[in-house]
Amino acid sequence: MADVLIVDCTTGEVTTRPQTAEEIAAQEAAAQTAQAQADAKAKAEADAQAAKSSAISKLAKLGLTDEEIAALVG
Amino acid sequence: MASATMTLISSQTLGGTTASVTFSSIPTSYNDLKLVMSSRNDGAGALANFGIIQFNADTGTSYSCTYVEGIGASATSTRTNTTSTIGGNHAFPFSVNGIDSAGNTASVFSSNEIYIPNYTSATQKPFISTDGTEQNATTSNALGVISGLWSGTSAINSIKIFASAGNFVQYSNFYLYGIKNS
Repeated sequence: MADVLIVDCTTGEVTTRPQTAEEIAAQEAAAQTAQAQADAKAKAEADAQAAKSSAISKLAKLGLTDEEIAALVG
Repeated sequence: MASATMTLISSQTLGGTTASVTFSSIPTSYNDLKLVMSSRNDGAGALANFGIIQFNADTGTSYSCTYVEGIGASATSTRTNTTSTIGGNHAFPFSVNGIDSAGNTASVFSSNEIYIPNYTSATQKPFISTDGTEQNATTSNALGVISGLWSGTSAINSIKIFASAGNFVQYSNFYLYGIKNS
């Protein structure tokens, strides 16, 4: 179990205590949400890359050169 | 002639794994605040989790920001509104590509600077944050720049620093400075 560190900037007092059960539960719930957000972001990036690859392929079939395609899509 | 000063209010070097660091009872005697951090997260993988901060223990819909993140040659810009969450938390992200973690090179720590001007203002408070992290020692590094707004109308008297998941590891450093312009 990780600790929580609290600094009183007026007095300089430093308090270190274990996380409460409520804090642990909140951290675990946040971790699940963070993972879901990371998964969604990774999927969006993969989808965007797949769409870009598909678009490049279609442009090539239309007869555009690699330089022309690069000028359009980078 | 008076000159500007930057005073170290507090510094903390972690002696062990720590879930969060909170600077509380921040004096109101400065004009601006500057938070400087060198942190590493114990999450699995590389750049596993965001670093995040909250002001005045405010867990409500008071945070919005725009951030640009770059990894290697790729860069993206993202806008979060007040209803957005960062790993389930209403908060500001820092290390927007993720804090260096277990999947990164050992002993590499992310670096961050957050500047908070006019933190005692009774109006909404903007801030700007920059960060640098290692993505992988053999490929690229990551960079983030954040422009944020906290809509709280009280002076900022506490700053909680934590991660979207996992904990900060030993030897992570946190420095809070107060800046006076005269």
